[in-house]
Amino acid sequence: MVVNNQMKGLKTFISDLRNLKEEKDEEKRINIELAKIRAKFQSSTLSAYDRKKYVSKLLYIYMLGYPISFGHLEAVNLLTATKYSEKQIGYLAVALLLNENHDLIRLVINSIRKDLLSLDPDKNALALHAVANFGGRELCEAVYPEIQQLLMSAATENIVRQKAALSLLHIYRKFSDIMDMDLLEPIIMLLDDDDLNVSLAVSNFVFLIICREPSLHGLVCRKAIHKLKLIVSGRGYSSGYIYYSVPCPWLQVNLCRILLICHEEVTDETTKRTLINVLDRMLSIFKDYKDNKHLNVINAILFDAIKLAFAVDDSGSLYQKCMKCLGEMISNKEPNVRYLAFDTTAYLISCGHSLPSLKTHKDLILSSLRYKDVSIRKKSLELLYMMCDSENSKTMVNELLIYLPYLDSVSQEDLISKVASLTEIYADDYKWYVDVNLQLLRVAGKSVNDDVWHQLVRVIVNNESIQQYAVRNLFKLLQSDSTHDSLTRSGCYILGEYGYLIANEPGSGPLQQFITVYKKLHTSSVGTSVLLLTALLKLSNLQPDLHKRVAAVFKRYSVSLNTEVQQRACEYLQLLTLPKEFLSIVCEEVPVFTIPAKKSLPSISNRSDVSLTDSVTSTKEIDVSSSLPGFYRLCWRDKGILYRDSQVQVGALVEFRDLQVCLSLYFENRKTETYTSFSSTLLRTFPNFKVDSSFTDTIFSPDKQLQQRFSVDRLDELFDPPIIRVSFLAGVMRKVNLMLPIVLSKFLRPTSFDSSTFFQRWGLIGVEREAQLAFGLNGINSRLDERRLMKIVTGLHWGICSGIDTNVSNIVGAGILQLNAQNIGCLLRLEPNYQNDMIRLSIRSTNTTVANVLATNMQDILKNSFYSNT
Amino acid sequence: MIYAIFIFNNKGNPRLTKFYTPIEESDQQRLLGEIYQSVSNRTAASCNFLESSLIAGKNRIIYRQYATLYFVFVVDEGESELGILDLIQVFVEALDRCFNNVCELDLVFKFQEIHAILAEIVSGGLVLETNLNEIVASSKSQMPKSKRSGGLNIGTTLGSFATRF
Repeated sequence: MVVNNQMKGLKTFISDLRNLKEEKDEEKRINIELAKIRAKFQSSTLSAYDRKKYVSKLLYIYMLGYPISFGHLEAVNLLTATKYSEKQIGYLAVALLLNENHDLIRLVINSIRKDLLSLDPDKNALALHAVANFGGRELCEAVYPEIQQLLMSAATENIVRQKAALSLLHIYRKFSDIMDMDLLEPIIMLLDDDDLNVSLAVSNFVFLIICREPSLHGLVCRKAIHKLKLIVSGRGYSSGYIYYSVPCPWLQVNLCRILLICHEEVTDETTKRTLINVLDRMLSIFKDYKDNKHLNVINAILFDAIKLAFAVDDSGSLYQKCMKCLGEMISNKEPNVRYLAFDTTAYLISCGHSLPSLKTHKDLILSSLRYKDVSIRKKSLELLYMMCDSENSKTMVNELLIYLPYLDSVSQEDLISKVASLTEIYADDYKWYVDVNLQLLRVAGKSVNDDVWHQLVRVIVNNESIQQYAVRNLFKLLQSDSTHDSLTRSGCYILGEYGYLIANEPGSGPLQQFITVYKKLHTSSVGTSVLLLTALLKLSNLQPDLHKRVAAVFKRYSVSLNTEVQQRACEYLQLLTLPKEFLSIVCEEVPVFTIPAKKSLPSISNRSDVSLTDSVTSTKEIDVSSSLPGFYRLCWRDKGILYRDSQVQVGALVEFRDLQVCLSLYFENRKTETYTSFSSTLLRTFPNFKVDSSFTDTIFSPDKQLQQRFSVDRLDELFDPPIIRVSFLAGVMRKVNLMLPIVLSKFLRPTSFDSSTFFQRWGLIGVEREAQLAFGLNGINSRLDERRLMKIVTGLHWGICSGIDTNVSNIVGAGILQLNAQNIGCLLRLEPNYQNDMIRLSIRSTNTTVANVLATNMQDILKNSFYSNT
Repeated sequence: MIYAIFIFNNKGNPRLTKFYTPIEESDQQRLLGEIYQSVSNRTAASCNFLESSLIAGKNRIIYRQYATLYFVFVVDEGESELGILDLIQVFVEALDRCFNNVCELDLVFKFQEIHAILAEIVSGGLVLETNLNEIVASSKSQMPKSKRSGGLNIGTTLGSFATRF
């Protein structure tokens, strides 16, 4: 029974294809073969051997990139065969041709179960691979007990156990609800297994466990340190696991990565010292193996050991050793090592470690900007960006600018956006900012993306002190005959706004300004032309002498073939004919941009918050407007939709257990396509607000629902509602900020008082601790509605005290808030005016701040809850 | 985890494609083409890593060239670059031992067996086994006892290149 020697037909077919001269012939030959196979499959007398042969041919055709539309059933039949060689091809075909949701998978579930129960380890292996590679929910549910049995039973061969571990990991990753959570601890114990391979397979599993289960960190940490110590000290493995004289490097790397996450559980000094000793030993292997040709694995271990060493102890004895290793790697000639050294260093800086000795390598890193490999160029730029701080920013930017003209366009673009963001973060005088950015526009205008010049304009508009300086320099640059679009756009925009500031200087009078803009008009793209026309309009507003010339230009362009330009020209021409006062209102100077161009300098301590790509936006205020309607509604409701657009929907459920408030978010994909890089990050939070669990998959397919859970156990202080950012790739990067409906009133416990108690307390608190607000509703068509108002007040957890107020339409309520282990009483009186749709709100509380926060929150919610369409 | 593994020759002909994350069939060939483009243009002085966003957002391409063949792994953040680089070495050495001086033609005619050997090294996108002896032993136990006549031994063998690194 020899597969290859017998499947002559397959060999002939492959040889045939290889002997063809033209690509067209290949397709022809394949179509003939496909037709033949299809006919064979339809005939009733297909032998098992033939089936195997034809399915193998299909697999070969599939690999060449031709779509396979039939033969799936034959693959399934092979899988259920008893002969091992047929079964093997069947498993391979099913894995390659069917995806996990294919209907035919149902047909093989039983067969896979049988193979798992088989005593033949080869059959076990095939079935375990199948589960790990394409196990859908149904398959995983059906075979879970068998796989668990295989992993945990001492009778199983090690080679099967390690495969079982990875199959079980697949189940845990994709369908964790199938897993028995009590099994996690025994699995962590398997890290200790004598067989290093079982250990290696299990280490992958443990890595995912600690990402999901913080409560198990302590156990994992102890086990991992113990195992690492055994390996490093040269015990506990057989010679088969020595890879070029290094004991199982893959396991060492995995253990380091596990410890990087859970090392904080090391509290006692002995364990910590053990870990430091182990790391010390690992960092020394470089010396031991210096002559070894196969340095890859050694370096792999070193990089992860360095990261861990810094996390465990970034000041002690390990520091010098780490820095020495890192320095040697940065200056290493081998491109792989240098690339990873840059990567590791950038990572360490982003974690907030200070690496002062890095300065000695700055020139080398700078020169890597021109290395012949794009991966290294990119990494070196990232690293330089991270190395920048308020002290060295100016020299660093200047040095980067020297390299700018010599780079390829992709690196140029990358460098420009990095320099632009550095100048913005570290600018203490705006002159420098303007100088650098103008240089960017002048030297590499074609690689400047829109964000950069938008930002430049924003900064100039918002800072009166530099306007004259900026417009003077931009005007000079515009004199050149060939300026790139981004320079023309920003230059003319600023000239239109602030040209008058230099109108009295020689050589830049109104007429010269007009001519400069006018010249550019001929050679510019449509988008730019439109901007230039606007600039001309603004010029003529401030300089009445130019009126006629500008009108003539508009007239010429009012017959432009481009509708956009034509429309603009016609409109502006009309504007010029209107009374002068009107024009000056239209051409009012642009107001200061509300998004602050620059907030505070990120200090070294919060440097880790500044990610490589996001440093500009992270300092801006967060825009949550798109989630506000859902937010207001969920403030007084326990479940509903927080946010919905054509692509995603975010549902929310708020639950209360004793004093605990839990929030679950459900993300749903509303399209039929799969989004990638799906993530959700907390942009604003407060100390008591905890993330209980979160999805780990970044792939967001349409049939999937991702879940995130948060909770607040108790309140120690007042807070702002948390904000998360949801981002994903759906062709383009999408980002949505969501304000989470966690507000103070969620923590209120409703109570009810009779008339006399209420007035006694109301009086006791007194008018000096009252927050009173009177307000109307947002939205012109909003109408106050009695029933809805009542619903909202109870939804905000006020206990209604009826029959207290003499005016029956008024609402009176009470609640108790537990803050910092104190009970704070809160009383409410709400006076609606249904004729004028106005509300007067009075809240008294033993704590004045609480009263104020409750009142302002409630005002926001009430104002926005009566839109006519809701 | 490992998202995908490709082997193709210097003309871009695929010799093995294996995905550990569901990818539409129509996208598979496009991916292969794009990866071939970006990898084959690199010089010997370049490093063996590339950042890409081809599969599941941000990921890294780690590749190695042996004679006429490129071995390419697409992996996420969780994998060590150099670890994967040496895993490719283990894979090639395993092929070399299973086929006595493996060459490109072995991969063409015995693609089923290549899949079987790979399955001993990587399962469900994670590293399963790195011990060369174990890999070879269990691959051989599954393989039919074919007599290696050496008849396929045309062309450059990869083995002579396996020691290059």
